[in-house]
Amino acid sequence: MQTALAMRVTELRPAAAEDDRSLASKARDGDTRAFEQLYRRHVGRVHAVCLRLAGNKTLAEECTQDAFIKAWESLKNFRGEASFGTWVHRIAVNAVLERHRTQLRQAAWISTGDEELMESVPGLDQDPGHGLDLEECIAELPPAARMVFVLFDVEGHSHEEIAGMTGLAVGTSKAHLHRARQILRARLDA
Amino acid sequence: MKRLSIIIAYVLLSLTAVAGAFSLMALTSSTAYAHDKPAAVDVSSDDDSDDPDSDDRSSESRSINESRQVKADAEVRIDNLAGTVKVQGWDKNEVRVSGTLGAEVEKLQIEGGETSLDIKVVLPHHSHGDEDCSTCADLQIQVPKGSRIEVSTVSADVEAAGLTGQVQFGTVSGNATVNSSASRISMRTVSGDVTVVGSAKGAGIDVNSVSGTMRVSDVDGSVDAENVSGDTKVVSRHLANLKLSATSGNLTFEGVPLKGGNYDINNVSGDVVLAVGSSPDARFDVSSFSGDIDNSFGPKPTRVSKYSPGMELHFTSGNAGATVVARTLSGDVHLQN
Amino acid sequence: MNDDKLKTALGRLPREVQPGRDLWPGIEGRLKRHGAAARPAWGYGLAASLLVAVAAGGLWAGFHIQQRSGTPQQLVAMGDGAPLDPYLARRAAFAENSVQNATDLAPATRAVILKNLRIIEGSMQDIQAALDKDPNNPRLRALLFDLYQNEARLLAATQQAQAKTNARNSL
Repeated sequence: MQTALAMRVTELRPAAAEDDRSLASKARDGDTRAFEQLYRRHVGRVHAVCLRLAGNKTLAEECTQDAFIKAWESLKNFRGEASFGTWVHRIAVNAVLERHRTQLRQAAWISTGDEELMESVPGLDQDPGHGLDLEECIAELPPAARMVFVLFDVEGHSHEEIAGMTGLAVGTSKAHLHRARQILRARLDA
Repeated sequence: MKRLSIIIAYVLLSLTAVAGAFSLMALTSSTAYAHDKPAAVDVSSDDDSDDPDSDDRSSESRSINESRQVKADAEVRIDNLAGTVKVQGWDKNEVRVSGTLGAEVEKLQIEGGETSLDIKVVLPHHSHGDEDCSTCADLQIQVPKGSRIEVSTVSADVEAAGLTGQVQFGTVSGNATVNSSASRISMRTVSGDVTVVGSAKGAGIDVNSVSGTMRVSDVDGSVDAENVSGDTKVVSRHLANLKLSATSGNLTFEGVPLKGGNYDINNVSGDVVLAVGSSPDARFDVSSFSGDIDNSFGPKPTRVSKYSPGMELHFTSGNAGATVVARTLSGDVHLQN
Repeated sequence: MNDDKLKTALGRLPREVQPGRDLWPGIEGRLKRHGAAARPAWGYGLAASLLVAVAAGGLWAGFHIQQRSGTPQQLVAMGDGAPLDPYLARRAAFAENSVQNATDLAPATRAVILKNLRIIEGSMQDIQAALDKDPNNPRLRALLFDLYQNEARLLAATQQAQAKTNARNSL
């Protein structure tokens, strides 16, 4: 009787610290409570990357929601080779980049020696004491430079990967990164 | 004697260590404090001090009148702790917010753009309790009728009318009421009442409460209603699907089971009343563990098991187009005309 | 990168940034809108039916194994009031603990939730007692499954109410 009871206890007790794979499996079968647990575990990371890429709180929240909803819809494609966190993170990044498709397309024309563009960068003329917080500075970067900077220096992607994700050429990606770092150094040094 | 002195020395040492640890904890906890981030950008005070006596805040209530251009199907989110929120759909591509902010309210924050607008009543940190309603805000918000509305409050009542888009309300003790032809309606309260009247054709409606009374009527489409101790009543002749569930509240469905429809009603100790017309076309699957089943359609229930008082009743009426399942533990089930 | 300040600041960037408000209600609403409303019931149904089958099977096996020692009969004979089944007692304690830990809820709300939790737990004991005697009865198993679902929904509603009230309290 003890063995039977013990077996029932372990199988029927509500999940205490279930791992992601088992939660994802339940979520795939339609269990929204299991999916909510996955959401709570990973929303911090997903929202962080959305916020930094988008530079805007409202858009970040929208993209975070979109990412989880897309993840829910694509759960059948999630085989569990990567971790759930990495997978939904990737969905989120794609979601934000997708929203900025137009801006990225326009930014494809930047070239390194373009002085005119450097002058029009916002923030350099402002009070140097303002915004020493790196997060704020990142948010104020021009869109494409911000996205490349976040993907390269914060998220750790290579220029080749960034090129694939954004549709920019590798050289353009490097140019945007250089520009972003220049702006940020100027702001932080002030 | 030597052993005793060693023991005493050891005890004294441990006590000193414990005392030291406690004083260290006391020291560090007095210097650590939660650093609150300042409120988001807006015209009014940027003061992020915790001082409740800060004199940056005005000492009386003030009225507001704000307006923003938005798209016809914009998302509009409204956040208000206490007071009232009234949302009215109109034909303009504009959101207009008017009303009054209580004395303790820091500001009305409106962020976003044409596709997505966030309207939030911001209160100073550490403010709670609104016995005198100084933290209340009464908001009247006009929105494009096709917009997607999301309102979140704690005790504020929420009402909406004239909407054709989507509506989502979440409150704790505030009542949630919507009169609309929206295609998606979602209401969730803890103790507030829920009233849903009307919907678009084929709409998706889901309502949820712990102890509030819920009433859904004149809707068309699918309804999912979950309650714990409050009563729930759904009245509709145009429901393709119904899911009703409660723990101790009563559940009532008045309407017509449609062909191919699924009607699933589940209760623990509350009663179930199904008033489905005099000749429904449906297959009925009714069981109760210890409650009574009374059926005005003829067939009498039979025992579920000789080991329990439970009753069950399975029969078909008319052309069996729909499936009606009703199960309770100790609540009674009434099948009526 | 050859700049210390930027590198240091980068190193200090937090890995996680929580959104300013709980986004789950918005997400959950849209999960259901995407037609997933039917799915949770099925997933629950499958999982819970399996669990109940295991439970019933385990009980039946246990009953037969232990028939000599008479333990289950002792349990059944304990009468009303006292928890008949130690497993259900443990489960009840776990559930009630979760509710007690929802300290942000209004006391009245917590009281309602606990009262209803006890209604569910009482019914579980009744059903379990009946299943003990009639373990393969599908109607009884369906009713037990309803109870598991109902309890899960109640605990989820508690958690949501707690999160919502807590979010407001911390402003």
